[in-house]
Amino acid sequence: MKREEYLDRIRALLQNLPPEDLERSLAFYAESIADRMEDGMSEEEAVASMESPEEAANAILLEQPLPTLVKVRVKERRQLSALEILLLVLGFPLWLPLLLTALVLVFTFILLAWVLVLVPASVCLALGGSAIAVLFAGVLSLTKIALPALLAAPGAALVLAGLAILAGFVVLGTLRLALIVTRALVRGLKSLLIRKEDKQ
Amino acid sequence: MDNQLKRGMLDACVLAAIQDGESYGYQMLKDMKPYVELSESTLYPILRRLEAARCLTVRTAEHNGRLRKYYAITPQGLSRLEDFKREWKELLSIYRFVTKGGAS
Repeated sequence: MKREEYLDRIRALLQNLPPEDLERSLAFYAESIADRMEDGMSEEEAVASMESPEEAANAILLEQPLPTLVKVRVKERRQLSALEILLLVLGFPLWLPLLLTALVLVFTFILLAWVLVLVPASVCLALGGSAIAVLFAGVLSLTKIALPALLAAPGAALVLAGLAILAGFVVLGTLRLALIVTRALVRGLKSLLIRKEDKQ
Repeated sequence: MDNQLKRGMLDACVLAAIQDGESYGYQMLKDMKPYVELSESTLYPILRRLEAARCLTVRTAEHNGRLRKYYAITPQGLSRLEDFKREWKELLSIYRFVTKGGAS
């Protein structure tokens, strides 16, 4: 296969992608083929040593953000046969609840992960706020000359601030977890969209 | 292998391929080949990701009448590489403990 054939094959597989994104990715593959030829390979050898256009197209698709992928899928689905449309309409009571359930499930997982962050974050804020409040209360009690309160206030504020910092660490930990979960789910969704395409 | 772990390793490989000076796609693949064989479609997303994370910078330059992209590591990329080495030193010491059969 020649270099242009290779690139055209990928273009054909990804014709619904925004052209500027596609060309930017293709430039990388074109450059690599040119570098192989400069390294002593013939054009055919250089192309043969690359991965298949199908693999490359799949990898480029997986790189696209989720909204672009969905748009691409919608565009590809435009030509449906009459039978498919009939089945889609008749099957509507079946697939709609299933689809909604799947989407809600994914959404719930993402939400859950972020609630996990929210809980220690509010604990952290509450402790920090109390620390400042106690400190102020101590300063106010200066005027009323309440010695025990005056002595206790800085200590209590210090303990509260320490606890707030501890909670802060928990926030950071759960934040990382939430990011990992969200990323994994979005990636899963993406590969779901792409794998369907292979079957067509 | 765990996906997250593998991704971190490949990021480090790519950064290591440019730690001594800038390089381009095919050269990086060639340099890594004796240790890990990557394809263009594995390398490209990693480069994009590392660029977005400001671990490397990209410049386009003319070469033999065509354009070629050169990738250079940033201080941020170097510190990411240092983190990787430190983490693996810890892991290796755990590995040694495990393989010698615990505290026997």
